Amino acid sequence: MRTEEKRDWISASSFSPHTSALRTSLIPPRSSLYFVWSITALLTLAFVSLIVIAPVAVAHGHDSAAFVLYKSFEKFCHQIPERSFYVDGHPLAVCARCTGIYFGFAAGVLFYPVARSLAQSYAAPARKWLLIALGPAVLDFALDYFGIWENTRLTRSITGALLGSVVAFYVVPALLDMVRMAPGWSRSRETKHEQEV
Amino acid sequence: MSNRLRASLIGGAVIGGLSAVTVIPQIPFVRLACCIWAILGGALAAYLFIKKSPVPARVGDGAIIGLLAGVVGALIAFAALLLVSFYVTDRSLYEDQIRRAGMDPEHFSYGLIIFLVGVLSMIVQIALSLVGGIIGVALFESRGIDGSGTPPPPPPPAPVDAGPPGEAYAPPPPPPPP
Repeated sequence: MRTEEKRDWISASSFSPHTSALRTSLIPPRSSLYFVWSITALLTLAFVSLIVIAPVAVAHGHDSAAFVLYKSFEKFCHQIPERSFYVDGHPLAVCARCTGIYFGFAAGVLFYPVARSLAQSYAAPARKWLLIALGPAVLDFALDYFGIWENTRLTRSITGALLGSVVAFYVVPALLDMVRMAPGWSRSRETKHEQEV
Repeated sequence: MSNRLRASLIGGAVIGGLSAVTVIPQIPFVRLACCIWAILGGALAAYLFIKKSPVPARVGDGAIIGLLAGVVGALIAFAALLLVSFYVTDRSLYEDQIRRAGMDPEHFSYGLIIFLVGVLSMIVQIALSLVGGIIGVALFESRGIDGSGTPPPPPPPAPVDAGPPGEAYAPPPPPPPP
């Protein structure tokens, strides 16, 4: 009985080859999605570790390495020592807000598969979540800038971490979508449209 | 030139141009914007792509465009860093910075440091531009579902037993009366 059912299913699907082809072209194997996520998580962890390695390198006498790291991050952060966290008596390579953003992003990438299935991640969340996450960071900056309230390293890092973790939920689906758009899985929509025209 | 390449080149030129200014130590105020240039350039590239694209852009499109714009911008900024460091900036400025950091400038190779700083900055810039491209699609693409542009694929069709081939279609029997 079970064998007959299986045979029926196979014969039925063979009557709609175009649908099967479309389905396989849009859904890469789960292992590919996990591979992309793993690489993203590893690169993100490597990146945030550089932020911590810089002060540790100074403390342990690796001056050249520390200087290269501080100098590289200088283009992307003001690196004001009063606004930075300290490790081993030296400031991190970026300020407290940037530290929060990058570590929040790393946490968001790491916990993404727990919160959302990789196989079901076809779309980024709605833009309102990004704007909501941006709100506390903007408020924290604005209140301090206009002298209404003096923010601290903790508030800067927490509001930054919130923003960074939400951004991760936009980045991971986009990277997975890149895999789906790869030539092996499906042609890009633009190319399809050009061919139709 | 494809729409994707055009948008990436313009976004990359903006990133490269603004980032190139930041390597000049005499212009400090541009540095206040920090990483914003790379993110803005990626978002700008995504916006330009969306404006000309006949179909809704996907988040993957944003990632690719941001990546390409980042590569273009990072190459421009790297070239500017090398030019400024070797032909414009006085090396004694660097040595002063090294001394202020409590390190010995004798142990440093100026050329190697500039090269490593440039390479690391390029990587960070490309990553930030990629994020900018993705955010750009999420913000500016309003034709698709939640900025993705593409609805999820349809569920797999249920197997249909059409009966033996050649036989006329017979509707299913009505359900038995309660």
